Amino acid sequence: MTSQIGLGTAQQWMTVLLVLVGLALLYVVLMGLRRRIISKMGMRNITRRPGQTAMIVLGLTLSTVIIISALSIGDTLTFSVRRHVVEAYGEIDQVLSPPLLSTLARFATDTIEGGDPTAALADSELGGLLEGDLLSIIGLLQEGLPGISEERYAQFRDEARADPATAAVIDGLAPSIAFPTIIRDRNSGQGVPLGFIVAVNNEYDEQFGLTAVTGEPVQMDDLRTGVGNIFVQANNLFGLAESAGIDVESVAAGVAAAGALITQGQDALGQDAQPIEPQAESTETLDLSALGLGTVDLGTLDSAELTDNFDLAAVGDALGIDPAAVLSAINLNTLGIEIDRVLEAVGLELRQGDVYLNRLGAEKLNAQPGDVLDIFIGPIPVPFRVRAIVEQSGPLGALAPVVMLRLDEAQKLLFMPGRVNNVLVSNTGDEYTGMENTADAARQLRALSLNEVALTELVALLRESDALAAIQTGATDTAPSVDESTSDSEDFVNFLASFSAGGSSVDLTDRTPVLVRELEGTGISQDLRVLLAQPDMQSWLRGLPLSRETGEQLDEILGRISDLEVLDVLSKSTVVEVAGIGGTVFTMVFTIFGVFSILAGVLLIFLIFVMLAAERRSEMGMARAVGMRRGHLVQMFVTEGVIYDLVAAALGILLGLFISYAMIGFLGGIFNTAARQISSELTSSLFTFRFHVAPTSVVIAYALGVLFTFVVVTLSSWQVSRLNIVSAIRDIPEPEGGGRGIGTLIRRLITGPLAAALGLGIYFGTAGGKNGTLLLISLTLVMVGGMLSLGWALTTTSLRTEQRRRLVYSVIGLGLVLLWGLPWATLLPGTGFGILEQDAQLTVISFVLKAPALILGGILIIMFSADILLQAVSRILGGIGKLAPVLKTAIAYPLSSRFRTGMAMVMFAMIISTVVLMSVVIQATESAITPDARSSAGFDIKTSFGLLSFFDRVTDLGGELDRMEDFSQEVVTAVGGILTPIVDIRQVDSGPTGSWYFLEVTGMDEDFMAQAREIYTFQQRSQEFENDAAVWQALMERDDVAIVTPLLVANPDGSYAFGGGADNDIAVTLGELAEQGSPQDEPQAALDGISFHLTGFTREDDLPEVWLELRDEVGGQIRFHRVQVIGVLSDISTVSFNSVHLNSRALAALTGRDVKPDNFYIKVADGADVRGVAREVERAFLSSALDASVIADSFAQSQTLTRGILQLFQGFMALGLLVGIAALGVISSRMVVERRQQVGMLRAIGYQPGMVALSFVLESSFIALVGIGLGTVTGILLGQAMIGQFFNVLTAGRTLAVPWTQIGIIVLGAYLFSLLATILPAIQASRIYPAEALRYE
Amino acid sequence: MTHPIIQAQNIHKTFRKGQIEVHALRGVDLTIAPGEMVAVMGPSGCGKTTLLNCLSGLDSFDEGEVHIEGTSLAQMSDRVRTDYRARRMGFVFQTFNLLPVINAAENVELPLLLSDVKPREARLRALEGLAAVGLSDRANHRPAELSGGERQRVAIARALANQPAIVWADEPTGNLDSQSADDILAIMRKLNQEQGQTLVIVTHDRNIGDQCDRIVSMRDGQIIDRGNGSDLGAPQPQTAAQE
Repeated sequence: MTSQIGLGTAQQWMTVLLVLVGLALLYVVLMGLRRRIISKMGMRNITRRPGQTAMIVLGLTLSTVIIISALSIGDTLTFSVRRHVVEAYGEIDQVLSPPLLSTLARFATDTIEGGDPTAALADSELGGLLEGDLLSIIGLLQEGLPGISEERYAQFRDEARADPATAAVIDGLAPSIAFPTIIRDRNSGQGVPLGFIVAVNNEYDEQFGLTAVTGEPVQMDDLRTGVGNIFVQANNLFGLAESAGIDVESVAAGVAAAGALITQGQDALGQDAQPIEPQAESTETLDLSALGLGTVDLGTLDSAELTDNFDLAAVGDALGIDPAAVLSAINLNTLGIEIDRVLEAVGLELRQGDVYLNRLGAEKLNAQPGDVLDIFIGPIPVPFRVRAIVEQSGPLGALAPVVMLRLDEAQKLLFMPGRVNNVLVSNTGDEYTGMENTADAARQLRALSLNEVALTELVALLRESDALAAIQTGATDTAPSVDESTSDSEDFVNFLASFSAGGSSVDLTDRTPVLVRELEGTGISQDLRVLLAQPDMQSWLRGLPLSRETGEQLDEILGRISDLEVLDVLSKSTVVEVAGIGGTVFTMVFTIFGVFSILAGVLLIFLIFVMLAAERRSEMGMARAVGMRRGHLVQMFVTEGVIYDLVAAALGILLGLFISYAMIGFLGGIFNTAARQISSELTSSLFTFRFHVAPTSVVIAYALGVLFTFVVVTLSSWQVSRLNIVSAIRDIPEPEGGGRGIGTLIRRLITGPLAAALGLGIYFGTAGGKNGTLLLISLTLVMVGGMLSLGWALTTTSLRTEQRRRLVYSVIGLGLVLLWGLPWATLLPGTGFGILEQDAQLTVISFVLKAPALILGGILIIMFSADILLQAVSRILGGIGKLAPVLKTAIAYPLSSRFRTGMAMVMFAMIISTVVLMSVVIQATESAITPDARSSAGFDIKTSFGLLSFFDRVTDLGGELDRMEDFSQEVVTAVGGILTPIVDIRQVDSGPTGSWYFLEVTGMDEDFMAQAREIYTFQQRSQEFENDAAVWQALMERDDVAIVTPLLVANPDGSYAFGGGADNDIAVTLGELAEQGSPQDEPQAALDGISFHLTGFTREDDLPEVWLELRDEVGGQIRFHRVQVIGVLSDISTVSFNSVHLNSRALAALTGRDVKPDNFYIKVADGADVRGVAREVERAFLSSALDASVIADSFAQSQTLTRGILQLFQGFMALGLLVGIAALGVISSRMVVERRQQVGMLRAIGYQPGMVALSFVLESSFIALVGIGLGTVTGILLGQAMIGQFFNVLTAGRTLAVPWTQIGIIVLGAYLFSLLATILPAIQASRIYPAEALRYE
Repeated sequence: MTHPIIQAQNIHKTFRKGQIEVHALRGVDLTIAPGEMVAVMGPSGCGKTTLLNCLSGLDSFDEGEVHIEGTSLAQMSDRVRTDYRARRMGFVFQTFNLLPVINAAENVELPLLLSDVKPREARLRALEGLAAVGLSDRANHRPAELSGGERQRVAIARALANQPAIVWADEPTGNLDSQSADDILAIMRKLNQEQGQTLVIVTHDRNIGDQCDRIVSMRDGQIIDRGNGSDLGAPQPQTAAQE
């Protein structure tokens, strides 16, 4: 595993950890050799009580278990993705493409980032295609798709072979064409709205290998060609027209008209409109009478021509007719509409070429070898037969269905004669080791890709005196570097890649002097080529202080400096690296979730050793009395601990691997379930998890486990070695900590006055007064420091230690609970105390601190209210016979060992709080993503457009469905459309709201509104409207009105919270941030300075006249449109989650042009098969790349995934419960040994055996129940706070019940298991024979 | 003589530790009348504590009969015996055996609560008991905050809290200085005289024996002198008998 996140590689970690473990063990061994007797004493303890030893070892395994589980899950993800990628890439390591494809690749990643694809495309050369009309396509075809000539490729290849530096790192090249397409399987009926054509020649299978999924090698040359020649003729026609000076548009229009006549106007031409019967294959004559061409004897044609190369020109020649006449019968228009019918009319069918289909494509299309696929070339479906399903389909094959075509066929189909649009590269090495050469290979490839003309111009420009001077000056700067984030390769994947490399700044110190030297010389050396080819160097040159003219020239030349660009985003190593980051991030998330468990494990280790020390206190006292030093005691414990440690870490590895294996199985199950919800055809997820653990992970986990335990054991040994010899021998409590030592003085100063001073410092020195989290921290420090100072002062009074401590710590506990736990905003609304509860700026810190503060506070209160609690319990339960004394002892014992008990309670509480918190969050998430009519406007199906939709964009889905004869109209009851552009918006009717805000608004068409009006009601209406129906009516008829969700309107108290959730304005603000962005002009303009709100009225007022102004820039012109807010919805749930809704005509008025819906919604008739309708719609509009999804299924799918993954985290955190339970087991068994004599006495004075057992069980229960109770309360409080913070917008208005049943199960389960852990020791205690115990001294 | 409160006949008790057998009691006969204060004395390992454990029902015996207030201990189940101890017996140990986690008053009220006395009344009686041993001002102190003598006085208060018929004391002054020992003995004597409880005290201290109604002397698991004139023979050399 080589994953890294700027923190060093796994190997580096492993080395460091191994060195540390080695040092620790060396220390123990050396000490052991020096004082053998001490080490022997330590080791002897191990065999004294085998049962106890086993329990200790088990307890110590937990941190290793958690670490190895987290690491192995990350490893598995990384490995699985890596395998997935490598299987798809095969030997290919990198891809070179002309600049346009780089733009496309960036376009794809821009959409990943959430950017606006429309904007990205508009900037690109494909912008014109957006309109989707034929002319744009023809225009593109005429220029030819961007690419390089095969000659250029050959030159490139030859140079690569000739250049030793390149040949050393590259061992294979192949030309290729990649093009997006829509694919449909005629046999299965399945279609995919986005796949890719990848066309290669025999260089591909020779250099990279190509095998069918069945294992046999296959060759590209084996594929039969298809109808490519027809396309060549079509292109020729346009070329001919152009050369003859005929307007291309006229030719296209003519072709289209002719096609229309033939296909749609057959009756008008007096032709037979009845489809003819398919003719037998042995047809000997070609009936072209339908075309007015008579009958032709096929025998006159060269049959080889017909079967292998259906060349229309040749056919025309053979037939003695004008080829254009043949072509006119199968023009582009007819091809696009019903090619088969047209061909059938003349007894022909399109020749079906062969393709190879990748595995992903086969699964998604449910395709078999032999199936006929329609592969869309633009809007034209072209039939191809699947010859085989193959493994290595190139980089795109990992992500999407890919059809592999012969290169020559694709060149014809895509009008790219003699051209290719990318070069596939294999680095030296196999499919794994080749990745190591990626950077070197890319550097060489860039040099080879330079455009000679541009390069010559560039060098000439750079050698001009002013440019050279700037370069010389820049090169002598200290550490010339370029910020990656400003370089050309700015996209999400590169960002991740640069993140993984540990920084975003590239140092050019070594290269700039070479550049200067080369430029000062003459000619263009290979070194200079390599230097100038690198994007970082180009960025650096761009950043130099050049004259404006030179700078512009430089930009222009650099814009065409490369014929081909290295597609970093598609490099195998980049993808694998990103996968590695994914794995590492997953590991980190799991580790973070596991931190509580690890901390609990640390506490457990500490607890175990403190108890061991307590057990051996007398022994240790004796040992000290006869001359052992503290260091000797530490050595004794550490020796013993290290043995436990080494064994426990090994056991932990085994347990952890077992647990992570089970978790991976669970994860795989979640993905499979989700996959089935996406598509009923998929029986399993397309991504397979392969359990994998890197050896480094095992070593790291083992070493970390050993070190964790070693450090804690050493610290706890040091702690327990600080004993008072006399007290230890007599086994009486340690004397009061003498307040005279300098150490005590320093400790008291730090924890008391200095802590309080620090709190005051934070308050006055920072924004503590305005920032909730800082205020809380400063108040906490002042309170704790102040109380501890008071406690210190009270030592001078006659107050007994116990009373003093109770006073101080009870107040601290109460203070912590009140400060961190009270719903200040609700209790004291509008007084400014709300800031204590929620804070927008340091939310995470608040969260992290809140749980420990609440738990610690609760435990302090309980631990130091012992007497009161005891009395209360006695009073309440005193009347129930012998339970009273049992309860008394059961509570008194744990309260007497506050440290031990407190730690055990903290362990339980921490773990339970995280598990409960997760339950609350899961419940909230489920509520948030549970579909209801309000979030779907009552529709059942949502359609959206894809990358290729622009060829045949649907603008009126309802109308098109109506017109479809073979579509069952009765199953669809409504079809509505919406569009959601981002516009500038402001309120224009009142005071301080003049700022403009970015806001995504929703434009609805009338059909959508007709359905929505049935679902959504209004809480406020403009006075001129009598009822909700009137508001909707106005909205449907007018383009100057709008409705808003209540999120935009304040509560009477000024907050914007909605529904029953946490009542705080920050919550809404955070939620809205995601959708609304920030004000453009004045950062502090609105009430809270962050989001757009309406002012001048509250949710309880009548809706006054409120106007909004919308602003948009269209073609460089700023346009405005005003709308009146005529209704405030009762609920914030809408289809789009946007807060402003209007008639789509209002958006047309704003932009001054027609607007098209982004999404259509379909309501299906009751009882109809919703999924079936969705499938049918998708198939019907496949050429439009329309994606139709069942809304309920989408919800269910995201629910399954979210719930599954959250539950996985929950389960992982629940591992910590094992720690708590183990701790109770350890405590209980220790208690029995420690109290043997006391049990004997209790038995003597009348305790029945059952009472003894009950006392022990109750004692453990007290610890467990307090811990569980505090954890549960904290978990619920935190969960609700978290929902308030992060889920408010999604969940407002919904009833968010606490998942009591699940919490009940967690609580009950935790308690039952803790009972199980204590019952055995309790039974042992009950069997203590009084006379024996009393004799045992 | 009134009916004896304790009557033991031919008690045998043998401890086995691996291959070794130790005959701790070899046919002990002992009768104690109600209200008597009896000291059991003898060298270490002669079986004094074993005898006390067997008579009080804390330990079983191999052979013989023990009747307490006319009831055979052997015929009582463990439950009945435990209950009987709670209601009718009190114990004072050399090492005090107070529960360290509760205060003096709570230690004293523990046997009362075990006898189903209501908590409020139990607390009152515990405080009275502590007053009787001169520890009114120490009621809220935990054992660790008390001196050895004070702890033993708390133990006595606890033993007497339930007004038991019999109080068993095993070396009650063994861990105390002479002054504290004298105080403790005086308290026990006083309580015996005022409340009429039967006291059986195992001790090495001749001074204590002298203040008791009689001294029962043991050696090698046998009673050699019942202290009522029936001298059973001269002391024998000490054996490895277990105490």
